[in-house]
Amino acid sequence: MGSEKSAARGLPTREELSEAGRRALAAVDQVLHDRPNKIGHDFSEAVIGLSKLREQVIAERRADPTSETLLHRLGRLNSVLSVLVGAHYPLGDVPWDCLEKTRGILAEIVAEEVES
Amino acid sequence: MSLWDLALSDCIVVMGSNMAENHPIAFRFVVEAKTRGATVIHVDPRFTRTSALADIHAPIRSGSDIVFLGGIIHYILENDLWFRDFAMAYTNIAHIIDDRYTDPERNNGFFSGFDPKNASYKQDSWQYRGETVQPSIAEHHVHTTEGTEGEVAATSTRPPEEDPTLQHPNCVYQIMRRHYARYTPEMVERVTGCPRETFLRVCKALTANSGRERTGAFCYAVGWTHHSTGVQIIRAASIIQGLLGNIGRPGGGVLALRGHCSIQGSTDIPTLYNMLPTYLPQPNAFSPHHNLKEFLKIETVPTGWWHNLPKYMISLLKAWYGANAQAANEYCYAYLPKLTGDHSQLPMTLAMVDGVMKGQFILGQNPVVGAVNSDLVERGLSKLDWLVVRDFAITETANFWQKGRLVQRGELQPADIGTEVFFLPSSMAAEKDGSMTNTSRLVQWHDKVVEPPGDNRSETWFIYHLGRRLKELYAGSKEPKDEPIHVLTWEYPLRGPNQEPDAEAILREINGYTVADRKQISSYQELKDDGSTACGGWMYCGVYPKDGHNQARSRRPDSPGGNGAHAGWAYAWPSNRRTLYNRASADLDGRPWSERKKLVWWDAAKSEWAGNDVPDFVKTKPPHMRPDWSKHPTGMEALGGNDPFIMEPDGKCMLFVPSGLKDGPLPTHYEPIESPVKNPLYDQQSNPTAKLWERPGNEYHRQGDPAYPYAFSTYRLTELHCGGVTTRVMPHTAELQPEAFVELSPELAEELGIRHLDWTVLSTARGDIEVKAMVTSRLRPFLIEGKTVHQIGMPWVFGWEGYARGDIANVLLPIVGDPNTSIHTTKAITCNIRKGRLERPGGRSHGQ
Repeated sequence: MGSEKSAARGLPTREELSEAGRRALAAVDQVLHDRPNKIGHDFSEAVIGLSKLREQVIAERRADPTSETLLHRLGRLNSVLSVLVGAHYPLGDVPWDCLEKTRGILAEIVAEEVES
Repeated sequence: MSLWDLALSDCIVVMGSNMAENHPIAFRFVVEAKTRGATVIHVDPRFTRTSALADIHAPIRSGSDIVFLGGIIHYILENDLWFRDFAMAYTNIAHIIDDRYTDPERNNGFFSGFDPKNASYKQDSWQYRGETVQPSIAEHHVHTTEGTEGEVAATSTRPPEEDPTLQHPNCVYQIMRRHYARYTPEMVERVTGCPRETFLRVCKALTANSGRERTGAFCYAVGWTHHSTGVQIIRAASIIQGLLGNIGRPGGGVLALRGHCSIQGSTDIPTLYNMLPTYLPQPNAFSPHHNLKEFLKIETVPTGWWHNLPKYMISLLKAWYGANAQAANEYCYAYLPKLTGDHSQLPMTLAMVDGVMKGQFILGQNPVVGAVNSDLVERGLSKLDWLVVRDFAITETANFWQKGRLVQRGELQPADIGTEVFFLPSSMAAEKDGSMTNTSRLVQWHDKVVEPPGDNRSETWFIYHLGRRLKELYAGSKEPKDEPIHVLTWEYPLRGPNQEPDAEAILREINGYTVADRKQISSYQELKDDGSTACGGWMYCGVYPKDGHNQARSRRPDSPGGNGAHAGWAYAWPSNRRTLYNRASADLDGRPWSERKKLVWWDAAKSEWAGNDVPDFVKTKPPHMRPDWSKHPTGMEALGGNDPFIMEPDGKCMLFVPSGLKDGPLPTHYEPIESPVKNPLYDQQSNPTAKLWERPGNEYHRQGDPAYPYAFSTYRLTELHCGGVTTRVMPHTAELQPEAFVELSPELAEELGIRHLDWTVLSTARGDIEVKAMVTSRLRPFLIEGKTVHQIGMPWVFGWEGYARGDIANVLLPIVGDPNTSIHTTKAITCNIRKGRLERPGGRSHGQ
């Protein structure tokens, strides 16, 4: 969906979504660097941003339900969100190893978003 | 213990409950005990109807329960009043703990092993010396230096080391004496506000009613559980009862008052996110649970009854996946959802606010009223794409978008809320078949007596037909992620014009059957781990033991002169057993501790356990049998005839818990997260492992914040039930409690210039509400550490719907979780109160 149409409908623009993705990646990088006692509320920004990105992918997929690319992207986004939410609200220790791996997937998604 | 077993108690302590008002049916048995001469004690911040019927009312400041109970433990130990024969035989009082263990007394309020980086404990140093005790709760793995592959130094090579002289400095007895050394009667008065003399009367009553001839019971409810130390409060009572020999015996026990119609059932066949039915561990994506073999290896406790986990797990998978579940595919284990984090209600609310969640089903619940931090709940609901609410009257949750607080004060506009809300009418209890499981683990069947009107349908109907439609919707999908829906068994007979699923068919599946011939199973001992049995919940095995026999429907009480177990009345899991751990009602020789308190005993002539209840023990295991350690016994072979607590790995009552709890092996007083009082016992103010999520909209008050100087608690009313809608819409209950109120003492009222029925504003960092004052002397100021602390309380059952209305108390409360259960805190926070009213945009609303 073009930036102009998104803006007209009050939906985030492509640029805003790209920026949300970059901030989410930065937030993940920060916690991976700091390994804090507990991942605090600042991390919510990452989750909120990615949730908006997911909204966009869902809208695009509904417009083009046969797209395997969009299906794959949505699956990866949902996986990333599951891990981020699980790290933010862990059952026991923060799953740092899994968060490291997820960071890689998130970086790919962000790169694809920038290119699109 | 059974509910009616209370009538056999010689002393009953009701604490963390206003039992007379909130469990009036159950309270009859307390009254019966009293008419037979029992001493009844009520420990509570308020003087309620329960207190009025008690012999002793012990007032305590909300949130100081562990000091009170710890004081009783101190009293018992220092006056040598414990039931020595019982405790020495059946508890771990003589067990020796790891040399590295240190107590909060030496560590400023921390146990050894605390990692400040993670705000969590490593439990190496809590273990029995030379071994690691594995808990049966998956997410409570022992974090030890042994590694994560599940290889533990199992208790199958030898029994734990003990010192029967109790002199070893690290035996549990000496550890407890040191731990509770400062929980003196004077300290109890300083911290709880309960007068020393009153506290000592409680101690004397309890200890005088223990031993061979006499027993006592504790009854509790959410006044204990809804704290950041909730589990530990209950643990403190279990220590008292273990020391006094009040477990497994007539009139003894720690009775959880699970009073909602099927709240016990909701955890048995569960609505808890982190458990499979009947308390099997839920697999976790971040644990070594990658396949069934690994899962069972990690989670199967080597000794004790939980060693049977594989039978229960595989039988559950067979029930759920039917013929699709085979050994070759590990019984479809891969299709089970795996935990990825804490998905309990509290973080779920926060995830809703962050826009992570797309939709919610709310069935028979009203979180805008009943969940803490009501404004944040509303905010979260407004971020959903869809919301389905099922109830029989419109709830605050269903119309948050129209009448909610955020809309009323203009923060949100209905037109801007994108949530599509579906309100679906539900049946009421008499309009549907089903079972209810509540206090005493009692499963009682109820029959439908009238068809629901119009489009009203039962939850069973809804869930079944939703599942059926989802299976149809995904039938053509080839996606691997949709395979679990394909293979799920979902066939139940449908009856009547509404195509209602046969609830008894569901109960039969939960009971279990042999796969080959679909014959009902009568006992969980028949369950197998080879795929030949299916069972939806092993603890319920026996509720429907053969075709046509629904034991939950049975209503045959004992006749006069009967043994009092009332085994013909419904079904108590497991095995229709009424008192758990009842082997402990007999001594080491298998003889009842006394004729007066006999329950089960060893019948030497028949070489089996017999008695007035189903023995909670291997029926043929003689009392003098001891494990042959040379054979490295497992399961029940590792437990002797003197080990009644069969769900524990060593068969002993755990006074000291080496593993399974996240915040310590012994209950320790920490102040509530919000408290007007500095912790007098330790530098560590509050539970260091409590689940905290401070963020905008969920700010916490600092200790002693002068802006919020009063202790605040919430509670229920007899006449209005829980989230309130079910009874606020009924004129005959609504008129009994027509509007919200806040209770405060005459002293505080005078200080603030508030008269009875004046409007007041209650405030916390989460929000403000207005409510009329009930000035009452049933609340008294407490003297805590030389300072007056005022206690305020309010029922949380009101909302803007129905005839009986009022502002929502849970607006005030923060989102804070107990570390073991994630249960919220509703019983002890701080607040402010002033005379006056709130300025409301658009004038008065909400029934005012």
